[in-house]
Amino acid sequence: MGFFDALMKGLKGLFRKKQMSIGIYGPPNAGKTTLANRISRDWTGKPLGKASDIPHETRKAKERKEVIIKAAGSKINFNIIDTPGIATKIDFHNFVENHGMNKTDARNRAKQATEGVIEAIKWLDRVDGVLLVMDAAQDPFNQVNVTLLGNLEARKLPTVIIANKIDLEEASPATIRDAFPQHATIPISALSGYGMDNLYKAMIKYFG
Amino acid sequence: MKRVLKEGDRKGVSINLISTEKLDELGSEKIRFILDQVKEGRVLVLEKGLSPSEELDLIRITMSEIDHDSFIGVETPGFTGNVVKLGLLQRLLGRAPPPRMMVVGPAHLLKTIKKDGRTIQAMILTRDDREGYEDDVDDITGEGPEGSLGGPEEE
Ligand SMILES: Nc1nc2c(ncn2[C@@H]2O[C@H](COP(=O)(O)OP(=O)(O)O)[C@@H](O)[C@H]2O)c(=O)[nH]1
Ligand SMILES: [Mg+2]
Repeated sequence: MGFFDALMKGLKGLFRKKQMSIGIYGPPNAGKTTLANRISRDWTGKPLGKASDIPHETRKAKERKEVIIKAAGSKINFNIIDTPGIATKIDFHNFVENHGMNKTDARNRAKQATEGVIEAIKWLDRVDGVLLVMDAAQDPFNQVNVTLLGNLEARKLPTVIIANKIDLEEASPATIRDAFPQHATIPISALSGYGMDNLYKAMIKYFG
Repeated sequence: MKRVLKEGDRKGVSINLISTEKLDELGSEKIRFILDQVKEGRVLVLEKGLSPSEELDLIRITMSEIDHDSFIGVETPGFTGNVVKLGLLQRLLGRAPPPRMMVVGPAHLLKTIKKDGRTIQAMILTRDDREGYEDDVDDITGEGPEGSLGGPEEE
């Protein structure tokens, strides 16, 4: 490490905030809440929210403070925020036709989901870093991923891309890595816990 | 088959090509203009797409205006700077490349089929694709097909 790097690191240490707020972002159903729960359980013993195969289960941001992660010989006190999935459209018919919900419930869910998206966007102003969760079995060039990454880059927010669901046969973390070569991509299965050690190391490295 | 389709004819979808000059002229009114057009059922092809922060504004304002009966949101297939490899100088300056061509349309009419860094395939849904939805909406709103919408399941 050069003198300048050492100095910067020392200064950073002096002024480091007590907590680093990390937002878990991504499109609906990427596995954000499953990941938030796993991180929270691993380090605090408590889950954070309810995961579901029905999109827009998380319609309000949820926060877990004092998530002290130890990896690679360091530890950082994180504040983990699970955010509602960001979408460009929300069609309540989807909840009725594909998830057997009645129309009133479906319309309420859709309404809350629109508010959730707005809340998730607002949280971008308050986070110090982002875990951007993508479903590795799906097309990485989806508009939400691309728009989010563009904004994270413009704001210079440290970002780690999560290639989630690699337990699925169709999953291709390499496709995500090729699509966004400018960022670190960590392949995991939030469901099984595979790859979490690598993720914790990456969080220390990129958010520390 | 009819040769000329007038705007407002539900059998036709208007596709408007918007030049860079027009977009620059709109300035801060750009998002409002786009949303108003899209809510009228038009598909816009923007010669110069939106910047990431404008895209986020478009999503945010779209969400606040979704009413679940006549407007379910936008579909925005477009090329984005992220996909293109930046030149060395741009990378050193941390500068994003300028926005590229982009399509914006109402989500009940437009569906992105396939997208990679080089080619985008989108489809304008025909009446048949939307049929089930139209009947469905009619019995909720009591309106005719004009006020109805449909769309593919959400991604
Ligand atoms: N196969 C598989 N499924 C997952 C994984 N992570 C989440 N899921 C499933 O994906 C669905 C959406 O998960 P959720 O955490 O609610 O997604 P969110 O909308 O991004 O918060 C649920 O059915 C989860 O069980 C994973 O790593 N592998
Ligand atoms: Mg969730």
